[in-house]
Amino acid sequence: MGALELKTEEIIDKYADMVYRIAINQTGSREEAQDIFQEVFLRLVRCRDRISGEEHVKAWLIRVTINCAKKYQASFWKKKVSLEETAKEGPDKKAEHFYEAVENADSSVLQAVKELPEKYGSVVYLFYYEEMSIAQIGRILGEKEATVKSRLYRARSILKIRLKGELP
Amino acid sequence: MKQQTEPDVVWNMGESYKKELADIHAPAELITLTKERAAAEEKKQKRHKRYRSVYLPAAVAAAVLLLVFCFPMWNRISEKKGQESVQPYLGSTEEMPKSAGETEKSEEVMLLQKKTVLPMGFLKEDAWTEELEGTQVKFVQEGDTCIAAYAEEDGYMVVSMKTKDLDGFREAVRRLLQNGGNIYEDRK
Repeated sequence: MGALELKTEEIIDKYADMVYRIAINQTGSREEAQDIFQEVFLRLVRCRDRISGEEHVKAWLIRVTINCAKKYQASFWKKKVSLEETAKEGPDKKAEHFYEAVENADSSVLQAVKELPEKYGSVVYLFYYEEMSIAQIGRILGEKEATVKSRLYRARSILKIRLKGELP
Repeated sequence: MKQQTEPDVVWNMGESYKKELADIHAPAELITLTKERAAAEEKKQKRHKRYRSVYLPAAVAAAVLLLVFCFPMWNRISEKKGQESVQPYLGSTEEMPKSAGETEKSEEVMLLQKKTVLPMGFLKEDAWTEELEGTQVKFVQEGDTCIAAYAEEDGYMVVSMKTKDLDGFREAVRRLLQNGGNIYEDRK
């Protein structure tokens, strides 16, 4: 493994879509995905010395994006905003959002994946989109292969129930 | 509508998911903004690295040099203090100085030195010998200092005291000989 020869700008150009897609996949929100996107590449600048080679940088970006999304979802700020928004909106608005979500849930596979618990979402993305093997996913997420298999199985089961008969 | 089998659903799901995701692209403004922020962060990192590689070692080197120069100096000072503090005192306990460095009581301080040969000062014409407690003691006066020496098994014991009172000095040497050369005997 050699040193990372690509410049930061080149890395951003090359992996921008991938990072953005993972962020969208994990959070389901474009605004949050944009915050995560910036955070990930700033971290890359700070940790550049520890990254060696292009394969490593891709795995590193995937792992960091997933972790950032996880942190963002669990952050105090995010929880506070959600609570405040819910309180402001009142019961009618809440019901409206609920029906919108139900309608959207059946509108696309992506939407259905977004609504999966976060730990299933990352496995589905890496398996179906990045076409990684169970072993590779395990290495990137730092999980055992059996855990990855079980998550993938559960995610498929949920998606099958939601999407059965709706797809062409 | 045709009923789909489970593998069909999974296959279709995978394909649709891939297609939908492939249509998503990072906004150009976001990429530009991120590049700008990354460039600024890189500059900051470079400054930080420069600080770590140049200023930090310089500071450490300066600290080491300071220690290297100061430690022997401090050591010498402590040694000097140590020497001063072991000077024996044979006066009364009421008049005993708090520290050997006190000048007003310096007359009372008796210095004992073990020598292998008799110092040249005792070969002067004004040196004399007296018998105290059965021991031949050589005396000499040099300015304000009275010096005495007596033979021991493995050399000479030289006793000096900064005083003009020869009788007092003689008495102090006598007490020393009475105690067998043990200067601490009086304090028990």
